[in-house]
Amino acid sequence: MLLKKYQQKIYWHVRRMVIDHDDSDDLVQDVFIKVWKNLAGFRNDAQLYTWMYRIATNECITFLNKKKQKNNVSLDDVSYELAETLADSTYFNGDLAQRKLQEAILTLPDKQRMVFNMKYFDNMKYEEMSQVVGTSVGALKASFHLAVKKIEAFLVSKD
Amino acid sequence: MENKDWLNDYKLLKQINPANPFTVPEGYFDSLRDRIASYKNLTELNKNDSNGGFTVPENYFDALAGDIQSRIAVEEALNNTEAGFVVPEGYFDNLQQQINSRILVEEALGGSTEYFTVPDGYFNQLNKDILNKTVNRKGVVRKLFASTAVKYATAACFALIIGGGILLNQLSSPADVHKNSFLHKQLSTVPIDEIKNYLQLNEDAGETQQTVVTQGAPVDDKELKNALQNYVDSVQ
Repeated sequence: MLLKKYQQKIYWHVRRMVIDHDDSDDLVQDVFIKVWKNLAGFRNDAQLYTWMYRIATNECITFLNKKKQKNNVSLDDVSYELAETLADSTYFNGDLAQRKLQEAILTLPDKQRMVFNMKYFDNMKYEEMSQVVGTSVGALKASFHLAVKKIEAFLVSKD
Repeated sequence: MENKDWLNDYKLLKQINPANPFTVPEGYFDSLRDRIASYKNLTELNKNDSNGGFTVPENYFDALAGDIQSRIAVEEALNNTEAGFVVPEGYFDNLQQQINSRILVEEALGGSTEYFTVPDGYFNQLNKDILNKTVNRKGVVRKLFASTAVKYATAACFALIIGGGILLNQLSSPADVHKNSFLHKQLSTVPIDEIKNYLQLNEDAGETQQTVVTQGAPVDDKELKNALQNYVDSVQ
């Protein structure tokens, strides 16, 4: 029941971070396994959804960090690699503008990218995002607006 | 700002369709639940028996480190057969480069100084031809006289050679030599009587012995004349 209700939300949250469908598939399964393993210890002081979102967020961050360590590359190079994955992806049917937007998002640091995705695509509230990311609402707002400015500048430069 | 009014400050971003551009394989979410359930079962099995049912002897891992170290020591000792031998400093560092250089040199030297070519299979055929001309050679019958003209020419040569040989033989005998001499040519024109008179008048002391021996012996003129004639005939 949990799976049926939340699988798509968790999946898209992960997918926007790691871009590749197969990587997303692996991570989503890991997320739900962890959810199942730790469900007994779940404290009801948070919404189940945000708790699952948090697990997914951490899994994504861990995955991206491992990717950097494995390839011995910097953050910029990982972003470049993800952009390459986006360009080669068969599971992307956006138009040119949407592709440019995704490329712009990939230029952001991982956590900032996550914040932008949650706000722009999922339309999450800052309070929910604060529970997911573990950052204050004010910091999240600042991070989000900074992200938007960077994206706009990127789109202008590519225009 | 919970609504999208903030987008009004970002024209380009606002123009972009916010719909999700990502897609998934067909039926992905339908099967996701089953796959996660399977994954969950596998994880559970792994939790209960992370070794998959395999076991090890007692205290295996405790002794493993010591065993590995012993084996390393043994292999080092075995590999150390070159103890005592040394190489020049930096030898192995330069070895690869030296080998590569040498290969290049040998390729340049050995690399086709032969600009001439031979037909395909030439050397194989050459071997056979040589054998056929030597070891495998059968008696070749050659005609001594290839044509009639050669026969007659050969016969003529032989006749000439024989005739010439006979001629030379005659020319080279003492009688032939004398015949061709100046004395014979001069004396052959002188009558015999004159020669006899000359000899009688001009005999000298060198011939006295013969004269003393024969003194008193009757001289047969006819016999003497015949002897002289015979002598002259013999030398002609």
